Amino acid sequence: MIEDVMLYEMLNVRNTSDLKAFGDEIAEKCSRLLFLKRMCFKVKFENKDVYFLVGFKNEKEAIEVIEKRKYKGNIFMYEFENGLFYVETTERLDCEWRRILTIFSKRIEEVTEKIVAEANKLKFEKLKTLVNSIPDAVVVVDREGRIVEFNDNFVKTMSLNFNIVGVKLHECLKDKNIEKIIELWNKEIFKKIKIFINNRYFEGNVAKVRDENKYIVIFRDITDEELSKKRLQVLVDCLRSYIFMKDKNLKYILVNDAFSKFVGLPKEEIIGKRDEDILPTELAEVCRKSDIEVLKMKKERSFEVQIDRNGKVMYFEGYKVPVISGESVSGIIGVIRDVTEKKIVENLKRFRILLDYSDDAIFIVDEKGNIIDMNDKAREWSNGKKNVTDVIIGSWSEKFEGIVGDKIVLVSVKSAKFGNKTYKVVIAKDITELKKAEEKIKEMNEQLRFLNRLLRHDISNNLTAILGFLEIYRDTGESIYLDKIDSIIDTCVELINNVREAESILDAELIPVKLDEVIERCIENVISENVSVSLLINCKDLTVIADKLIYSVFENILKNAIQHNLEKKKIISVEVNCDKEFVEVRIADNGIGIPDEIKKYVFDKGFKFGETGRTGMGLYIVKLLMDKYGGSIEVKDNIPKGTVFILKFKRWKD
Amino acid sequence: MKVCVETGKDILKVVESLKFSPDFALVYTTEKRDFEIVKELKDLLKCPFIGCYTEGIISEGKLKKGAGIMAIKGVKAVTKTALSPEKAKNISTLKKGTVIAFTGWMNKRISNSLRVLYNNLGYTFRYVGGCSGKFREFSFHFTDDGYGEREVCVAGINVRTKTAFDHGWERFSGPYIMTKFSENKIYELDGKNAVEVYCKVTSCCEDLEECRKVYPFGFLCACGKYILRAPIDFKDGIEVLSEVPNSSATVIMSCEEEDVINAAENAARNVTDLDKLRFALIFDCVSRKQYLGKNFKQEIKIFEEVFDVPYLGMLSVGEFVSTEKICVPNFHNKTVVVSGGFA
Repeated sequence: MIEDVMLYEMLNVRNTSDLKAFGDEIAEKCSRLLFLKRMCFKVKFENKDVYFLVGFKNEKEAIEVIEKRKYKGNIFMYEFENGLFYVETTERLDCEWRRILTIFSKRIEEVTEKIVAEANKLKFEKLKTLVNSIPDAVVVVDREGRIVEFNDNFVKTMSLNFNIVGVKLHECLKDKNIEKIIELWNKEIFKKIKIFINNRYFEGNVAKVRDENKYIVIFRDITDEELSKKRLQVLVDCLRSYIFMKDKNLKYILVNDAFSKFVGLPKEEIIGKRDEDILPTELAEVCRKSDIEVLKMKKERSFEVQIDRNGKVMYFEGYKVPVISGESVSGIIGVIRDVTEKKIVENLKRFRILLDYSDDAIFIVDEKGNIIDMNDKAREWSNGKKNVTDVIIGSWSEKFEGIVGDKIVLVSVKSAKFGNKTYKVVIAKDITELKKAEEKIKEMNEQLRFLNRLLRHDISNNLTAILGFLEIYRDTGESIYLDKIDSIIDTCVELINNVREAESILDAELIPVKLDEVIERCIENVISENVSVSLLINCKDLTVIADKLIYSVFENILKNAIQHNLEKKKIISVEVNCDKEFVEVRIADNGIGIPDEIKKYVFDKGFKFGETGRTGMGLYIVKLLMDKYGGSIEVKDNIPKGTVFILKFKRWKD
Repeated sequence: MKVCVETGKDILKVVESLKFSPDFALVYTTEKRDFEIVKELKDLLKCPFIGCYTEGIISEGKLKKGAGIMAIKGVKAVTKTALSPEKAKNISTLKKGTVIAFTGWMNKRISNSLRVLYNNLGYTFRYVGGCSGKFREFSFHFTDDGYGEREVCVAGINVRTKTAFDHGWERFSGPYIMTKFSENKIYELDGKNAVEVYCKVTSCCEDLEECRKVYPFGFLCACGKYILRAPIDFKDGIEVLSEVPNSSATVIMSCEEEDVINAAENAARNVTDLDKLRFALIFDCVSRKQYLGKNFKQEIKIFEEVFDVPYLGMLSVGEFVSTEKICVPNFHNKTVVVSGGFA
């Protein structure tokens, strides 16, 4: 009776659809109905091994025990397609028990197979429903590419009939490349299929069916994407900038013609590759780093790169933008421009500013002297002239002094190459002031020499004469020698005064001077018993350009007229005439006159004539002053006797 | 190994009266059921211990109130209190021995919990124990690791034991096929209303409370005996203590008082045949006391007659036991479980 009930309990399984409940039920039954020590019920379910254990700590322990099992009377094991049933009891299992356990195992197998089959069926049904609900075309092929399964959309989309099981996929889709691609799949290289069928583009993504030598291919209609891509390609190809798009693995997925040309590879060889595959190592590393930064920061980033290409330095600038899908970055778009020319122009601009700030005139001219470019100073000087030889007058050589208007310029000419052409760079430096300074230095040197001569010769001579007369006076005691000494000392003092005067001429400022007042005052100073001076002024407003030294002009000429006159009665006449520009003053005397051969030397420095000559500085000073005033002086014979000095002063104009 | 059993009114005084410092202690109380007891026992015993609240302590041939303790010296013990028996893995460090376990009677998956415990500790241990507390009111059990109601308290000791169980009930009617049942409720027997079938067979439905003491359900067990499940409620089906075995045939059991008392003796004598028996543990179902009433004294007296070693028992609300032949512990009702520890 008990055995019957036990058999009933063993064979009567309540849970025949839920594997977990079934496993628990088996564990409970074994624990209660058998002299159980350990039990393992393993089921292969949905590609996993599911274990139900009694007396085992875990699956690992169960597997180890089962693998090492030896034939023992207390062990019973039953293996079936989808599982295993292992029982270890505390008592030896006799034939009857083994019979009962075998029946129990068969029942376990039966229910397990049912549960597995139902699960697989359900899974298959679900899968089928799922596959058919996919809007894409789905097909399952074996290793040879023969169609095993497909969904309705596959047949519809590809315009096929339903009788295609066993037909090779490449024959169905009429694309021989598919055969090669399937060969790659068999090598675990899962390349996508791309086909154009019924005027539509399709992309087939493949996945290997686990534990089966089959591949499931899902064809997605990518026509819109392809057309967009083509339009985009055409668009980007029109642009001169280098444009590329990379996926999140930094592989190129789109490049334009300019980029392809720059890299020196056809587009097909760039797509799918990374920078390190196509660019020099150093540049690739720079690009990779900035790409990673864009991906990480999810922000656009501008950059500048300088590269040496075949010995030529090239500059690039660009920016990279992350392609954001949802919250993640799916790739990068980059735009790069060659800014080498721009950089050069910028450099030139900077250089140009430097040139424009130069005080020298700089011309870039062609071989014929035509001006190509010039700086601001040169533009000022050229005054619209097109050829540099019209601007700078001179004997053209590598270095020469030339004239530009009233300026003296020092010109240097050098050849320079810009690109393939040879130009000349003309640099002209204004040396007018320099020249004037040189003249002045020259003049001062001469003055120095004159002073030297004066000191060494004239004053030394006079001192010698003073010593001579002093010795005679000591011997004779005649006062006449003292008079002579006195006279020589006067001459020396006068000489020194004259030199000081000559030195101060250049320093005095030009001012308006009323000439009539000056003449009258000077005349008053020379009139004496033996000297008569007449003054005739024939015009009004005698304001002229002069300075405070103008008295010296008249004092010297009047003194000269008196000194070089041996007549008892010395007569001097002064006559003033005017025109618009000048005031002319004629001073005539009745002295000994000046021979014609001497006249041209009378204004020279230190020139003395006859016994009456004193310092040789008087007329020289007069000439200097008149030159400074912008006027003139000349000497003529007076009729009937004597000399006439004609002074011309420039009128002062406000 | 030294073993002593002390009983008394106050648990702390009982502990204080121990003649040696034990390495392990089994503690029963019929009074206290608060966390303080655990703390105080920890302070006093200073060794691993396990215990529970019970409605009666079996000692010296009497059913006592108050406290009882069995102290053992010369053993290694490991304890654990956890919600899941999986956590009691630490006991496996003992390699082999005896596992004493207590859980709450309200747990509806006691058999499953026992299997989990068995999976983690294995067949090298013998398992005994029961549900603590007062039926329909509370459970309370503890170890030095903690206490609880729904938790499982487990103690492992490296002492070999022999276990035996018996109940004295015999098949009265059946077998019946449980055609409709849930976790711990039988709705249909042989396609008929289970309550109606039960009432018809037992003819005592006017006093179901009395009826359930006599007529439990029996489920087949490998040893040839039945595992009993006592009905605890008859509302919308027959509710039993803890789960009913899946897809089982069941029988309605009945008994005679004499058989019940003899069963206790059988179980006790089963472990006394050991040469070096040092102690005995008894887990006697509280429902047996309810059934036997005054005659329960006879059952208890038997233990005093049978054992000449220290023994300590409790009234349990369901019992656990594994035996030499049935290694996996099963959950029983209305049963006497005896465990004899030997050197």
